[in-house]
Amino acid sequence: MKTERDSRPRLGRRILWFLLPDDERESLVGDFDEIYREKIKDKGKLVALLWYWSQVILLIPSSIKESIYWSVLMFRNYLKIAVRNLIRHKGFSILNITGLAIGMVCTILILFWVQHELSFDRYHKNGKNIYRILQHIQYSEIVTWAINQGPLGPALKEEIPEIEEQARFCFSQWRMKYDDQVFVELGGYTDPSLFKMFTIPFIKGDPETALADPRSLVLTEEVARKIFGNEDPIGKTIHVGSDYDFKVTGILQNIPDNSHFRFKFLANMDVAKEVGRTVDSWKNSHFTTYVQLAENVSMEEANKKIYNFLDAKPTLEDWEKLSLQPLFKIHLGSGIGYDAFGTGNTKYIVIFLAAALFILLIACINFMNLSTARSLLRSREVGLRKVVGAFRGQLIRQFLGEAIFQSLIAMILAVGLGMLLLPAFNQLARKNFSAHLFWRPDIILGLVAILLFAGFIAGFYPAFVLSKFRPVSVLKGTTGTVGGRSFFRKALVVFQFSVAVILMVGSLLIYSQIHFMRNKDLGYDKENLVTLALNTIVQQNYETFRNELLGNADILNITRVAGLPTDGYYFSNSRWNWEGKDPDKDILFRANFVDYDYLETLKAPIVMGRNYSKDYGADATGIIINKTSQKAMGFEDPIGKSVTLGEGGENVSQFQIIGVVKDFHYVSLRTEIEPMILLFAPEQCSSIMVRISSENTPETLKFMGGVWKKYAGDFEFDYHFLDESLDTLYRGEQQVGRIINVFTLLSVFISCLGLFGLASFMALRRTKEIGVRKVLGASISGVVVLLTKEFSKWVIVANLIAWPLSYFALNQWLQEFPYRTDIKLWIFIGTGLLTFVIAILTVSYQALRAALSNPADSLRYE
Amino acid sequence: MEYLSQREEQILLAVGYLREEAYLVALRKHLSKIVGKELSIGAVHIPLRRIEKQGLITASLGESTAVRGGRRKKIYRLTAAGLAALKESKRITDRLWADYLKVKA
Repeated sequence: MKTERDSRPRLGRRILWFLLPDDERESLVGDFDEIYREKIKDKGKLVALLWYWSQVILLIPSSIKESIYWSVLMFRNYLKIAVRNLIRHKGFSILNITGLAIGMVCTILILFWVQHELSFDRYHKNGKNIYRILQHIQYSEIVTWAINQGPLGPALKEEIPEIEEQARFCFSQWRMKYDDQVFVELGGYTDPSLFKMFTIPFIKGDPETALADPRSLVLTEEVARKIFGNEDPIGKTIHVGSDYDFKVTGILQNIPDNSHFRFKFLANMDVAKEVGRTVDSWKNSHFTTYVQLAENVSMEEANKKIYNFLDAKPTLEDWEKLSLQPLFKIHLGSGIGYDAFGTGNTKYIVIFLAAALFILLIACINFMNLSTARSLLRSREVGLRKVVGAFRGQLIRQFLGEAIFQSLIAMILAVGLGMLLLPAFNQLARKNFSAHLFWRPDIILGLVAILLFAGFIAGFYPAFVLSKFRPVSVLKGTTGTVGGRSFFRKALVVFQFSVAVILMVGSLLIYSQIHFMRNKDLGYDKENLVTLALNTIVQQNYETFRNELLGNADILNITRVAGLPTDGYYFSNSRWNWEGKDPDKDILFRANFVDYDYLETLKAPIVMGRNYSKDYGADATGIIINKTSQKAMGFEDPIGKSVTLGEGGENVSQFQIIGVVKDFHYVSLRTEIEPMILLFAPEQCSSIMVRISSENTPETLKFMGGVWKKYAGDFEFDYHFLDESLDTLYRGEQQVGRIINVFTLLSVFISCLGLFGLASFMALRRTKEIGVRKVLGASISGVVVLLTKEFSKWVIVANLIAWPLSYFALNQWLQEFPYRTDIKLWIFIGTGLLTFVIAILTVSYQALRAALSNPADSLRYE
Repeated sequence: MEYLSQREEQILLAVGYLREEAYLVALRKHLSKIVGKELSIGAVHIPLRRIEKQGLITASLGESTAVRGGRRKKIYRLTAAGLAALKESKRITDRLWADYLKVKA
């Protein structure tokens, strides 16, 4: 018998079983088997087998039709039940849907942000063939810079056939005068080929000829409107600086937000030479260089060709190599120095995305917990459905569908909320997103994905639990097993609160790091320091200008300097030599050009030797080094030691160390203090630094403005306080801090929504128990403690789990900063207490209500 | 009352004839023999389902046998409505035949 059974086509039977309608499955499969057996007897096994399979195949179309018909019919029923449930349990539905909607809004907004970061420079039609040239230089370690020497671009194009086109760019801030009005804008010098390589659409003018003439000027629409209003700018003359006139020859569309480069105007590279930029030297790097490779050339091939390109050129350093950086990777590239335009940060993208997803997950968990906790309410429905023939798979699909239905409602809410919140988000993230984004196909796809993801995660577990009820026990009314699932529920609540705690610790720590950086002793006094840009007119009459300012009692000191702590623009060089220098060790020194009084104005103390002073005439060869330099040079007593710059013959300059200054932070706290040398060269300075007293600041500024006007004429009195400028250096961190802050609030809020729902459900379930307890003499406070005790336990466990996790994660983040705050214990304890109090407050509302209810009401029906 | 199709009428009659043995395989075999060609399962099953839904026959699950892989048979039985429908159908056909023969003769 057994062998005969096995002779039947098992797979075919399985498919048949699947295809046939539920109600007649058994008998029909039996019928097929019987006929099959007869056929074997009559016509042989092969024919029978063929027949069986042909029957299976013939069945497929009709069975598909059937299943669609029935699922539509059942779908209507499911939908009806879902809507009824939603309406009947309004409170829970609101908790669920609000939580989901908030989680979705976060995810959507972060999605916008991520797609914006990823879309950088994608709009350039030739983008995939365009690369930026990176320069790698060996000092004590290899550094990578995004700037190159002036002659590099043209030489590359000439000598390497794979490079079809090149364009250089170099920033410049211009003071433009038109019709007696002055506009200060940031733009740059470039080669006309820039327009050929990149997609930079012209509104007016011809890209071919716009920058052909060295006296031509191309403006963006925004600046053109600012300067000319509604006039036609083409052909108009703009006065720049003190001696140059430029004719406007082209108007560009504004540079899109997702472009790595930004400028408001462009002028010909020849102008850069005229205004004194070193364009022709292989010794100075000032230019961002872009190249376009021929269509069929790969990056690897070209990289091989250019790697050693500089070996044959008379460059400053022995070991200078080149490589290509794809245009699309510029924005999210990191670890590159002198990147003129700044970059995004991949790390923050990951952090935000993770935070948004976790918030969505917290909302999903609310749904899971509330649905399973309340599963008893729907057990009758499940029982009845099973009795009339529902299969478990159908029930799972039904409950999953309900979750997706709720998540659909949440999504609709989230899109509406997102549109409302977009302006606020733009402000928070300093972005410029428009609501049109919601209708972009890729975003819509993302929204659907979020919807399904949320629905599935939220609905999967409840569907699994709910569909498991056994009809017999449910309908008899003997189900008492609901509490059995509570371990999983507890774990989920613990997870929710862990995420909330991690975010909270994170935002506190980010703030404490920002606070640390703003308040760290920088080695000089950053308060009450005013900086001004030094222009040629003031430079010419500097002494009288200075004396006139010092006439005011509130102006304590004034000096000139080249590099400010805020711009970090220093002259970097490793060609310093001294007696006893290890010839194998290249050390990079930062150099700054200063005037007398530089260190006095900063209030950075000299620890050895002396400061620059008018009493010693020949200070042009005297240098002051910082403590780190002294260590790097290895001098016990550096005063009077001679140091040379450059190698070989005439290029060598001789210097003498006259003093050592205590280390101070001459750049932002994101960089460690490196060896620095101060050179006395007032004529090289580009900024004025004024130390004022802390009193009468407005009057002092007004006085300074008056003096400035007298000397500088129509140059704007554009002053900055150094401490404020320093703060803006940490804007990136502040922005991250603010976003994480919002995330933290939301995660706590959603977690509390869930807790609130669970607590109200628990209170409901224990109504009778509480009634009995009260009758037997329990006090109100006793009952409240009883109900809150359990929830507080979970929150404490969540804290214990979250603390070490957040400690490790944040320690990792802090490693990015050379100067960092300690991770303080109070952050953890504070977070713990705060979450605990919030959780207790959330639960105690329900607990109090339950405790205050009259036992007569709850026990009346017993 | 709906009119029966020819196949439905044939199946109803076969159900009435086969009685306790009126399940799909037997019905198909019986009909195929009389019609003279092998009917497909669907050709029998689909009308069978239709008349079952109309209440002309009812079904119950019978015993299982080894030949059927242990699966039970679905056995159909004529209902009163089914019988009435058959009678009505016969009345109409008889009457039409009678008229036709009258003219022919």
